[in-house]
Amino acid sequence: MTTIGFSKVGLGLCVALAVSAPSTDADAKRRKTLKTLKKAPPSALRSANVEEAIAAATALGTSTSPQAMGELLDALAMGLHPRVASAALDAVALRAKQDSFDVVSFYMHHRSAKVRSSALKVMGALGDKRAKAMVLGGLGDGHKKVRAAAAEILAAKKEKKAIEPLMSLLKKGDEAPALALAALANPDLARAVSELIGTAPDGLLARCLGAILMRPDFKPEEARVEVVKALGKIPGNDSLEQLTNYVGAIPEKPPRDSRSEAERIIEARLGGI
Amino acid sequence: MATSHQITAGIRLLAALALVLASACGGTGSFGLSSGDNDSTKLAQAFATVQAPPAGPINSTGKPMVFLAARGKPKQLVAFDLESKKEVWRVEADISSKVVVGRDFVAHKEGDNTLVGRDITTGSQLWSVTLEGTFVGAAADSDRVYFTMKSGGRKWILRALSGKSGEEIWDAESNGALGAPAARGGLVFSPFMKQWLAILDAKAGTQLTRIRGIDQEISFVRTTPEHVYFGSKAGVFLLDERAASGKRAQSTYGNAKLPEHFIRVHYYWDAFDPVQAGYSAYDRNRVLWNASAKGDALAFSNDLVAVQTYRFFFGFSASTGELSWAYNHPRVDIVASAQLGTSIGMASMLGEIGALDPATGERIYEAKLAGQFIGGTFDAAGWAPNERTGKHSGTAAALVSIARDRDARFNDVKKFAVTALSQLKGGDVTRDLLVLIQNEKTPPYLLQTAADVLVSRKDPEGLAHLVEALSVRHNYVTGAKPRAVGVAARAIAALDPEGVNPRLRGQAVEGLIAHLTSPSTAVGDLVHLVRALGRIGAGAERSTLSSFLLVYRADPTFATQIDAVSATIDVLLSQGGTAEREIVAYVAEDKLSQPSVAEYAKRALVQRPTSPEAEGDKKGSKDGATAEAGKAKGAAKTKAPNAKP
Repeated sequence: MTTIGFSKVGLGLCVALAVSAPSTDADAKRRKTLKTLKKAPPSALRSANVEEAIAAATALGTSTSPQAMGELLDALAMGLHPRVASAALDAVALRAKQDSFDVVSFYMHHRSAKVRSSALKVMGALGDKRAKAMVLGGLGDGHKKVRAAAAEILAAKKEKKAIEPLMSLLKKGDEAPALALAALANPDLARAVSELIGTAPDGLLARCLGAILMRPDFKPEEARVEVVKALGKIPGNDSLEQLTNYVGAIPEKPPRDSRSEAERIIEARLGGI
Repeated sequence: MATSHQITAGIRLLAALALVLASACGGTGSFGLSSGDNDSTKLAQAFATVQAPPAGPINSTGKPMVFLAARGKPKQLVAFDLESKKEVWRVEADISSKVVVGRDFVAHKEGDNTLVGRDITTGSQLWSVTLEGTFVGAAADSDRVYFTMKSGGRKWILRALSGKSGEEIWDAESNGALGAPAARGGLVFSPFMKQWLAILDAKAGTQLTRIRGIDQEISFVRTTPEHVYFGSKAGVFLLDERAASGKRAQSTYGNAKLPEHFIRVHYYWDAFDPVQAGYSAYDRNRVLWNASAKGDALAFSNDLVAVQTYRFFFGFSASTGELSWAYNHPRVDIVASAQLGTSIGMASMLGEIGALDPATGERIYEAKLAGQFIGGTFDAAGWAPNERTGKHSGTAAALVSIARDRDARFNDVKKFAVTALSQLKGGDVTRDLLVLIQNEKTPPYLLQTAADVLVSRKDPEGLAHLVEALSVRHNYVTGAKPRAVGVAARAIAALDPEGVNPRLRGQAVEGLIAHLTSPSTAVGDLVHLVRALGRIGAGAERSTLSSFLLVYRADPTFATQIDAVSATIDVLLSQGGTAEREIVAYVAEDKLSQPSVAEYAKRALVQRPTSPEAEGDKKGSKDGATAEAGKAKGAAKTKAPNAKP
């Protein structure tokens, strides 16, 4: 069980003590763990063969053994090839616990976007206040895939704090927030998104509003009509496609105002052509 | 026995031979080569005839004036009263030379071959004369205009005219080149063949004496109400009794020590260059100075000279060349400037009239004249405006504004401005340099210079600004982009940790760590961040550096770009304790470490067998320990780890 101990005092403590005075206690623990690790049996996860190590990480992720989690965190604490680190983090995310935080938090800033995305999944799985803040921070990441991963997690968690940065991203034309905002939208947010017509890219807005319409829980009907009307104001094929999708997805009966309005707009658009 | 006729004929023959010889040697009349040179008695006699000119402006109104040549078709000549800030008159005039100013008149060349005199109070034409040769230059005193022209193949004429009537008073001819004259107090000074300064009686045109430059050519002569100076690009002679020696060492002589970056040293307009007889680019690249005797040497007033280069003015210590002040005139070139003793007068292309304090470079006068101008002449000796606004931004701000100037003509000046910033004290300079470095529009050559200057300053007072630069973190949502992170880290790494404010040290460490661990930080900046942390971290950096090393030791990205990781190893070994050493040892031995990283770690461990902490030596001995250890282990055979802090 020394490996779990190492994960706490290895990289985890390094992070925790990043800006504080050096701790002789931490140094002592780290030293002890290093000695222990040197004596530990060889692990496939720490193989120099990257593919073998990835496979080992994936296998450890499916294991319910506490030792498996410890081995993953220890290996992450001591440093892995980025591809292996990503696989290890994906494995940790499957059964993440609070003691993962310290090790994983350093990987939130890893230079590989793929590694950061995997670390985000762990944070999303942890769900505590610190982890949530980290995921929110992911929306500001310089890489679009990391932002998209953060947006997806926040949308799944219905995180209201994400709305403002997601709206900012939408205005910037970022792909990440369209579906996330749709998932978070209530009538007020849908209206706020509609008001970005002319400001945010048409295609993004159309996808966002279209995704809102596709949510069966988005109510009331008046709000749906407003979203359809907003889509009707967006020029181009993207909005037409979203309206068409909506009409196709909603049964004719019982009749719904939003569907009728969508049909009217489609006819007007196509007739205009 | 010879008859009287024969004697007379013999004398005539000798005289004719003498004339031929003198002529062959380059001069006749007032400018013959056979005149007595460097005669101190004759020089003293010439000085005795001098009537001291007025201390202030020469014009009859006594008001400080500037006469500006306006661009256009036709061109115009504008008289401007500096005191009342009023245009006195404006007349159409095809000006083709500098304007010279007398008591009741101004004169200038007009068109190709006419010299014109104008009433100083109205600008109306008083007279005009046709030039029979190529105009070389002109001067005026209270009553007369003196001008030089080249007439024919080897003939130069210095002519005096009445300033009021244009009537010719005298001519002095030369077979050797004459330069543009100067006049003061009843004497006329004419550079002759770049070797002599002939001194003539202003009333009669007769040569009173002359100075021969023995170890320096004479290419200009300049008069002020107080003094007469002559010399060349090499330096300035004061025309006093000691000038009779003709040698620098025995004259009242001096020159200013000026940086060579961009300055073309012109102490005055070259009297032999016809281009400089008119308003030209030479008027925008000048050294502006006043000087007087101090002991046996020439001392520049307040040990300061000003250098104008187009829109920029720099005040330098004449003795050390150290920058004293800088002034950046906005947008347009200064086309006329003059050292007036108590101020530096200037006029811009767009008619902005100004004055600078020669001691500080502060702008002390502002006025505006309609039109666009090509040059001008100040008649404003002793003018001392004092319109201080209290907004003087200071030398550093002026240098920064020069460095940031978008005009592509001035790359050398900009580089100089940035380099000069390194000599200035105070944290604000660090801020200004950072602003320059952080500006996306700063060209690369300047960026590099600014970065090097910032690092070389080693100014602990600037740490607050470096911390501020590091406080910006990348955020795609807000659009925040940190800039100059690597440069700020280099500047911090260059600081003496002993002089660093402890509170700022903590903030700096926090900022450095944030950027070290940010994926947005350029790989090339990481090594500087690591070194800076090693320099000022005081232990707070160890945990982060340990993590950094462990996480990236196995990353192929760092297999070839090993600088940051190797610097981390160096810092951990030099600043850390046993725990850090064990981490490095682990990195050296573990198979997952990139081979280059492991190899570096191994060598570093050999060269640092024990850390300072383990030795009980907390600081200061790391380099020594490395060197000694290296020697002990024969490490000279291997490449030394990068041990720079």
